[in-house]
Amino acid sequence: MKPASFLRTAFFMFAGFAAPGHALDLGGMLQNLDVNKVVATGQKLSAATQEMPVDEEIGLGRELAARILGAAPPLADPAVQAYVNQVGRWLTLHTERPDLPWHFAVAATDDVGAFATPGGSVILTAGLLRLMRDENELAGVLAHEIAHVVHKHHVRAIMKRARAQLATELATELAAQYVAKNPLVTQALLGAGMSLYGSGLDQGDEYAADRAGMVIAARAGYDPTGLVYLLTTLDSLGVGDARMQLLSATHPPTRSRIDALAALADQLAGYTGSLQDGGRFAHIQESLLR
Amino acid sequence: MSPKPIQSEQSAASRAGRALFVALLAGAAIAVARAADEQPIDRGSTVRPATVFDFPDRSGKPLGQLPPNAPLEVYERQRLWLRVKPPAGLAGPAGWVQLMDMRMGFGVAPALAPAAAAPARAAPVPAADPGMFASFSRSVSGLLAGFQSRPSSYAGSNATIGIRGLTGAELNASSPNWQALAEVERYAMPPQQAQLFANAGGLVPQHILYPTSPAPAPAAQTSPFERPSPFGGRPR
Repeated sequence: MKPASFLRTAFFMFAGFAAPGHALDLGGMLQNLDVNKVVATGQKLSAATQEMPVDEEIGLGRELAARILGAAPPLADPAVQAYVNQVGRWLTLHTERPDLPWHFAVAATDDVGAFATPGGSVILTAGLLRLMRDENELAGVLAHEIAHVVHKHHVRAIMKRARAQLATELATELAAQYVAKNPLVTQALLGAGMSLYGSGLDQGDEYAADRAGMVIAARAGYDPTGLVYLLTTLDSLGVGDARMQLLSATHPPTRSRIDALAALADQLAGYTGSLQDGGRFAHIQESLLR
Repeated sequence: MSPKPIQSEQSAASRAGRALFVALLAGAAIAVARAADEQPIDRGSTVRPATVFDFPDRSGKPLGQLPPNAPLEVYERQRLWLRVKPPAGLAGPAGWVQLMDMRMGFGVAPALAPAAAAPARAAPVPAADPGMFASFSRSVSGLLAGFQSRPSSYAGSNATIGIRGLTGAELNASSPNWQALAEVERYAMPPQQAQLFANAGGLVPQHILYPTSPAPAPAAQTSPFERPSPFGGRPR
């Protein structure tokens, strides 16, 4: 992300903890900082968007996706990557944010997991793809991740964490600095983001993404119970499996997720999906196992 | 009027009836033969006491009850319902159970590989009633063996990291791989191509609003999808 793209976010974030609602007495530590100017600018931006601006969301998401790919590099199989992008992009057309620069990737690892970063990057592990039976299940997982992006679960969690971190660090180290130019802001956002992928979102966001994902999959013509079926498979692997380590640490218990979807699955009973994939999913899985 | 034609009609009806009966018998025989040949499409086990129904709906007739951890072979799926039978050698009712009451295996092809192939890893559930489901542990090991016997490296990938146990610490410590990001961004798909892909797969878009609450009331007066989204997005 260009450093300049953090400027507005920095104002916004600073306003977030310097505003009365988040009263924080920085006292003499900020004596050289034009607090009024920063707060005024931040409030103006905050009033205008109430959110991180989209270009900054995309930039932050790319930074985070590059780091996830640094730990789990992409699978070198163009057919698999193109296939997952086709399923994923079709799903995004049935959301409230079809115009983001969506892209989907399969990471070459046996671990079972999927990641979404702000702005439309979705990374799925080959280990998870191998557990699936059909394209409905793939659509279920991708739609869950897409729901996180559409409803900005990560952006909000990152902003919240970074604000808390900056409040402390600014008070001790940043007293005389012009806040938006300080690299701590950048570091706080990226640090908050990466720690989020190790510790997980609020459990409520995960349940919400399960539910919204089922609806998105059904909108796109898939059988929305694909996600439920895949979850029953993950339930067999269990928390003791090394491949499930990160997923187990970052998500509610699989059985709870399954049970939480029962009522919605009943409500969506009329949507059975119309998929006739002509063997394309099986072909992709074979190429994974070659 | 001669009764002959009537007798003739009766005779014809009788012949037709016999023919139908024979046809039904033949059909039944074929169905039995097919059932005997029928291969499971999946395997799994119950996670709690589960009722077996004669029909894939809770209004169906209950045929029996399965205890938790009962291994089952799946022969057919209708959304949230599975047509199941106990594996050979195990007693128990056959019929339809709810997917929600199950944990599923990993396909069927290699699923019943020798249990020895499975590494010593804790089975996800304790063994069931040893009388009725004595071979349960072996079955679960088999379920897992099918997955574990698959290769753990990927064609075309020279990646040696992340084969097992990606952790939050690894993610925190990772450096950005911009080359990899550029590579995956090249696979981004234009909407028009996604539309063609969907058409080829018979995918027909549906108009559905997001559900309204995390725990919808079971007896809602109106459709729960006809209210504003609780997720903040504009309903479609």
